Amino acid sequence: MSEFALEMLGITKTFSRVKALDNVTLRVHTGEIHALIGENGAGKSTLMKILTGIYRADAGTVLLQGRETHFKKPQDAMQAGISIIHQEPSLVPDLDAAENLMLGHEMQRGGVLKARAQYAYAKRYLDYVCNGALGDYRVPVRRLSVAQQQMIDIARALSCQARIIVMDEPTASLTQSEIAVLFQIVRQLKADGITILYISHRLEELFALCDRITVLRDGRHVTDANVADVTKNWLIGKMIGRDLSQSYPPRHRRHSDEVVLEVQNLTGERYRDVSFRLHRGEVLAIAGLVGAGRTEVLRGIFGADPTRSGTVKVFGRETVISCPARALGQGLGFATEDRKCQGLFLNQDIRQNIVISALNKVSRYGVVHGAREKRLARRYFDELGVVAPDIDKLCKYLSGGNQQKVILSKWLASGCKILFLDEPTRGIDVGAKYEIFQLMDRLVGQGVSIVMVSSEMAEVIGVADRAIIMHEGAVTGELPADRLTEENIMTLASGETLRAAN
Amino acid sequence: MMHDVQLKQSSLRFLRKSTTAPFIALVVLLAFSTVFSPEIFPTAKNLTNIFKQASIVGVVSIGMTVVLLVGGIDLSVSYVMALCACLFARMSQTMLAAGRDGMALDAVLLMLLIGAAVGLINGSLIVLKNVEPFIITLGVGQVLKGITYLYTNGAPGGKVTTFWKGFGSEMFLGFIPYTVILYVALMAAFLFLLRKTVVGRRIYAVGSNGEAARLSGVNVRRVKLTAYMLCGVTAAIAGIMLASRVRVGEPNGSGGYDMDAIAAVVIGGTAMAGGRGHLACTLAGVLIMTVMNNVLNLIGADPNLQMLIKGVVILVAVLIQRQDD
Repeated sequence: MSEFALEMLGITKTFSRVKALDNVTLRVHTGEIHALIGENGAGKSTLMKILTGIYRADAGTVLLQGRETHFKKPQDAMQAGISIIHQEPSLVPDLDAAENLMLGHEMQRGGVLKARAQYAYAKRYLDYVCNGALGDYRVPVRRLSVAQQQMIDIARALSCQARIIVMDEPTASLTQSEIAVLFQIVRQLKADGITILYISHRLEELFALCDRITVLRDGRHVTDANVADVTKNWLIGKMIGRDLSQSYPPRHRRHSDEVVLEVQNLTGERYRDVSFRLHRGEVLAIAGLVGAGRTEVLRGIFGADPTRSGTVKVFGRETVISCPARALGQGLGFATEDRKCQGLFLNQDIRQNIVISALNKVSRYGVVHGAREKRLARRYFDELGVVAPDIDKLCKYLSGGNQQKVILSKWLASGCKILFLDEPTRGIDVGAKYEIFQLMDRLVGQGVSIVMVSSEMAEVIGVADRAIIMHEGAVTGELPADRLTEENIMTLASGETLRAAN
Repeated sequence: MMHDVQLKQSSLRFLRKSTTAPFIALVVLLAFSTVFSPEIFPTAKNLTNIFKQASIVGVVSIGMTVVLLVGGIDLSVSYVMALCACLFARMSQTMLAAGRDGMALDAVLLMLLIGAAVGLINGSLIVLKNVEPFIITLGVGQVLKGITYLYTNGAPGGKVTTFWKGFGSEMFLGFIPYTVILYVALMAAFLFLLRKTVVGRRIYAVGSNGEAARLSGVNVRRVKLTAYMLCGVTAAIAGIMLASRVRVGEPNGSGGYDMDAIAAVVIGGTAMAGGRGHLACTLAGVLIMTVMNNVLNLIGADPNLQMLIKGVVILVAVLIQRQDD
């Protein structure tokens, strides 16, 4: 019997030339609560997907209790006693707790469910986990709270005889009291010999709950340590300690006092009391961790989702932006993170993609003027240097960088003065990234103002004039250019306050 | 460089598949038909007849193309046709009884309004309640069917004026049926609408990616409403054409036009998911369906076998389209 419940040794995984994991090692003792931390994109999810059989590693071995194992598919991992609890419970909303628990391993005889035996079996595990927190196991789970659904998820993992449970940001949508209950359950699991791999961005939770900790950064294993031996600041340092080797074009910063966009106490479903001002010709970054509500704020301002309260002033005038069409009329543009689903018309040609928001400019009485339309499309096609034979090519055949350029062309063609960029360089190769940054600098030089959401801190530091940082739906701080450091961003993004000395 | 070559090849393939394929299929079908029925099929009289038969389903398929392009479907078109045909014939009869014999423009206008209104109801229910177009238009169609039967007691009735009688049976210059002229005119108008107007661009954008269209500032709901209203109007026009041809309002006379129109649009290469397709190719789809009917009748094929062959052709067309994705 090995002292380790799980060892992942020398794991390497490459996605189309990008090394997501590079010789990563993870060792977890039997019966401990082991934290796995790292920035967005550090490789935590990829590592867990390899552990649970969703991806296959290019190199490296996985040992369970000292025995080498190979998972070809998720079911293999489950049979080996590994279960994963996702941030959002993965249950069938119309089935009840017991039915969800038995889904996939139903008790049956000749295709007929053995309902009573099944319920009794499910009840054992549900009782163990829920401990009275869920009175009725016959209620469709869509009527239950996220916390209750999560308990069912955990019970389900146990009923599959899980010995190792991965929890991926389990507290992300829980309240404080629900978190306390969850911690109790996790400690109880530990007491019963279950090994827990705990992923979280909330450092305070790790200190309250975990025994050991492994830090990943840029797909590499940085360190592992006993939680008792380390401090929060040491951990933050380990998570971000990389040089800004990526190159960014020089920024020509311009200071203007003209406020083009003012947001006051904007509150929506996943953010609250967000206030900020955007100046003419400025690049303002909204930094923070994935799920902090950054995209949601942009969507709220743009009218893509309803807001609950708060005011938005565009060029000094208070406006109600109830739908994106209104936002367009106010001179706003929004290049979304998910370009394929929310930005592009993949089956349409480049020309139609560029002019869709500017049709009024190239038409009269609703009839499109073909030559003017082509001129407009070609102007931005050339100006942004989209690499394609011509503007009549379909967008689905373009690379990520060129697709992003087409989307930016669309907004420039619309004549927008305030541009929202959500993860503008995600999935774009280094060369095209540089071009996008150059373009952003040129745009602000022309008087366009930009709000950029980015999860890459280096990008925020390299490009932004100023940043506001969000944590769990609230703004936790604002940093001017001279105080934009990874430490400061990371501290605010984890919900900590900056020390006065800083 | 590699990338450029790939780009060129794939776009060429796209062109071949989506715009010329239905016409190639049509030419092949015409050739086969001529071989199988050399005496009758290629005669001017028969070809004129084919176009005449094609015109009504053709008009329905124009509106259906628009609806499919926004990613919807309209199963109420035959019932709009039936209602309009019956109403139009009965109104015309009253007018004739009052001694008026003419174009009956007021009745025509009312039919167009009815078509637009049904489209508005279909569209509103779909966009406001966010329900599947399939079930909404099916339900609205059944309601219309009920109304038509309550109104007519299920029996044919009414008359059409001399003008419409002539429209339904006579030919311009002795060889072009008037119904075909109307079809061509509508085709031209809708080709212009889809290719040259702002609404047309938005129809393609909404069908291609509704969320991207919304975030690009397109009023997606309004575009969808417009599409269903246009479809309702073309169905109403088809209803008038039907009444003109059979010279009576027949509540049962429009069965099958909905499915034939959908089949024609899909054979023409328009994607059921929306955003992709050409109205001109719908014309090829309509002609393929009509020529097939015609030649199977000419060679005296078993009507049951005809059904089977029609079904196979639709399936093959859709499967070829799938390969393109």
